[in-house]
Amino acid sequence: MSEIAPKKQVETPTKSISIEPLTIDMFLNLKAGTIGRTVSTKSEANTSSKFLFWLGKSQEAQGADTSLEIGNIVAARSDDKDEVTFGTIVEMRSYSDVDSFIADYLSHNFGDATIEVPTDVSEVVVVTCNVMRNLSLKTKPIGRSQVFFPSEVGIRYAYGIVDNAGLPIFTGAEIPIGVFQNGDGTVANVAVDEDFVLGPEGAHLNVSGISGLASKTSAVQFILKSLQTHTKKSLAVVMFNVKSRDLLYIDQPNPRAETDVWSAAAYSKLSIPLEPFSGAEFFAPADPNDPNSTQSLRTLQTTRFQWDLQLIKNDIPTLFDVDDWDDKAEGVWYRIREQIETGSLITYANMISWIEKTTREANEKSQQWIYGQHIATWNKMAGRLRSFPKSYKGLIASAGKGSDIPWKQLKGGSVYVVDIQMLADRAKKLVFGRAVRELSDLMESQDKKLDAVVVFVDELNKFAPSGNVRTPLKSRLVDITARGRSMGLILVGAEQFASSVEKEIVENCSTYLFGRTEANELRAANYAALSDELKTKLMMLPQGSLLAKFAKFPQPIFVKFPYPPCLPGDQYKTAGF
Amino acid sequence: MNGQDTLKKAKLFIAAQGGQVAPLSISEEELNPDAQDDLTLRAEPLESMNSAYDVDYDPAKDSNCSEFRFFEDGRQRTIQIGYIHAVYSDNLVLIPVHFFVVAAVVLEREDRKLKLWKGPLIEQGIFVPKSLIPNQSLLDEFEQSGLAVVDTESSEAGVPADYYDMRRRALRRAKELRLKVEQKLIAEWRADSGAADNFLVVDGTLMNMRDERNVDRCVGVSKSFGSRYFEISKHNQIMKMRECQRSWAFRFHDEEADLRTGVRERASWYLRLREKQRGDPEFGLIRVEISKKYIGNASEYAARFSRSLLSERLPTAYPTPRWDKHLYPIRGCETYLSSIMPSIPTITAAIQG
Repeated sequence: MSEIAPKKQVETPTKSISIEPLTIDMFLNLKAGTIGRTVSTKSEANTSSKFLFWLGKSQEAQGADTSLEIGNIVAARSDDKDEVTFGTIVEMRSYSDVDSFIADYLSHNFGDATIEVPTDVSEVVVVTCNVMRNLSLKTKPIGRSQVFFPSEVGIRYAYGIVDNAGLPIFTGAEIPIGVFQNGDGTVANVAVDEDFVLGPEGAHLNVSGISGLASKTSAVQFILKSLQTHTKKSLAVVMFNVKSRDLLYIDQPNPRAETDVWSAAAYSKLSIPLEPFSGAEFFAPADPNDPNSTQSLRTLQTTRFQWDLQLIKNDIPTLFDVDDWDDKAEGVWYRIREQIETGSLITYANMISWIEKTTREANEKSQQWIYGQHIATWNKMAGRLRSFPKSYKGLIASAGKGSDIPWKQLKGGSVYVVDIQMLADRAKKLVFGRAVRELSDLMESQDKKLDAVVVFVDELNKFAPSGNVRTPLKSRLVDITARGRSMGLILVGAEQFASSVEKEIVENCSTYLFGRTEANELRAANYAALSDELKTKLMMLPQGSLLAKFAKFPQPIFVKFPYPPCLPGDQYKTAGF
Repeated sequence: MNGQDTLKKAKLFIAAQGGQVAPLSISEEELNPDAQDDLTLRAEPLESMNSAYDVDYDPAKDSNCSEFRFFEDGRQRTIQIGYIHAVYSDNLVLIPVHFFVVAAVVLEREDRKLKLWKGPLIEQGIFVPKSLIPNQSLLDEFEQSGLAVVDTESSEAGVPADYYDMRRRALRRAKELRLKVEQKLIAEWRADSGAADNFLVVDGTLMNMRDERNVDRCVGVSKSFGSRYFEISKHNQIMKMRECQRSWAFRFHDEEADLRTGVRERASWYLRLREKQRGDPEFGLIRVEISKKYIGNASEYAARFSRSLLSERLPTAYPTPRWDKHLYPIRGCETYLSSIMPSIPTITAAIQG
């Protein structure tokens, strides 16, 4: 049996040891037998990026122990046993030797559908695979080969997780994102490279899929737990709860995960503790009717936040409608801001009173212009500013001292959950935008204690919609995904439709997960690289499965992940807490 | 030796003999289609010739009533790949060199699926008139190295170095070799206990089989026949038969004088597999042959096998040529043999490359 590469020298602190490359057959599941044979024809060539094989009898047989489907990985061993080429199945076609519909019609005694013929028409299933990797790492078309299922190490080699000696080749820690189950039942851990999730090589993660069916939140919770467990970096996590109780009980255990045998086994196999985010801290806007309470749906400990004028002053321009914020409004705001900077306006109510007093005095003097701006603009500004405490309910403290989320207290292992589900869209954007700014400042400061902060937000499309309209928040998010990997600010976004999120943000994510996706969405450019059959599978993907694209994976992979380690918010009551 | 090795050696052989490789892009079989009919044969009825016989076959109910499980076919491919210069009677002559491949296969049907009963038999090599080859010692060397060189020398009168005659002889030798491997395979099948009590459906006439033991359990199905063995009015009756009708069974044999040697005698009948279309009198018409040992109860066998053969008409091999007469498993044999025999482009490329 031939070896696949020269021995590799590995330096250890004490001595140099030789790492033996695995033998060719160790990359194959030989016990499952040969599943087919590569084939090319005059019109269908095998190339360096694609190969075809026909399915052997054992695979065609009803009740076969193994079964192939789209997304499975196969390993083609050359007849000289010198090479193994791994491929992922992107298409399966069943061909018969019936030349035309009319031929089959004739074969059934001129249209008798019930007729039973003595010989079945010859049929063959031809499988198309996209080439993932080969053992020689050479770019070349496949030769005549027998096709097998790969072994577990074969699968991990195919995905570029290990080298030909079976050793990890990531530069950062392996971050498991789930398990891959092949047609022969072989299960392999699927991991991404920490350096491509948290930086500096690449960063950011995006999940898309139909609400309620794609398990986006569950997947992210599982992956965040995995990140927390396996990262070698000092990592904090900030999550935004944008709807319902989704993330409000992540500090509580998930009985379903604990009792589900497969889930428990998956956590064990992936070396991730099946534990909730126990130290998580929860924040929510203050309840305007109760100074000691929040507006959160969470019934357990939650910390209120509310911004006084000093905290909110930099954000006030962002509270306006784009149409309202013009040069004239900016001129008025300049004067108000000047007044705040002098220290004479302490509270939001002070600011409103000062504006009202200024306009009243101008009126009394029949003065049309105040500090170079027309009185009508001042009146309009006053009207808008008066409305903000109501429209940004609970976020703006008219009087008294506000309190912000303690961003500077974030440390390695911290988990913050900011509940903004009760807010209107504009208010959600305000909270999220402020948080991103604060976190950017934190991660850019000289004395930062963290290597990375992961910010998870669902419905990313609301904060950074696709299209030509640019908002300060969208620009900031684009900027973060472009350069956040170098400063350690990592965006984990989720949305129903990837096409509804700003293209630059999606394209900057090194890890992309697709859940069940509907047909219309699959026509978008985001999915152009997927074959029609992969798209079909995406339309029917069961809960708990995702198609993962990762910068270092040669092809997308279908992964299964267990129930989340923490309690889904909507199960809080039924779980008996 | 596999096909590629044979072709490589054939090319080297031509070069070693000072010849020229010049593969044709068409086989001798395509240039000279082999006619199936044999005007020397005679037919004598074993049943009344007054009318055709209805086969007890209901297309709706009996479509899967075939008793056959085994099917045999053979193929040959002969292609001129070059020539060698030689001197014959003080004249410079061209000796054609042909690459040949002959193969036979038996397919078995199990649970309506076809599979190989046993590996096919395949032979390949080159045809040359050996005595005309200029360098005999080199010829020996190539033969010893594994190249199958089959002599096409003629024992008949005529000019042995006639270029066209040598080509015709190559084609005839290919047919002989093909029949030989078919015979060998059928003999093996006959000896297989798993096939006992079964009949083997063979593509084409059984008249070429000289070993009567092989013929005993074979049913030959001929799709082409260009000869008339009965007087015109009776032959017309055959041409007018409807779907699911058969002709009277008849003895099909050599001249009476030859019959005394006990060879070339079969029971036979015509069968209409499908209704005539566009008035073609031969549409769906086949001729069936079985061993002479059944001549005594030919009616019974004709009725029994006709019923099975009618069942074998489905599925169709439409739109292949002569699909109306094709039996699907026989087509399976042909497809299989085509897949294992080097194609003409492969032969041409290997010789030129």
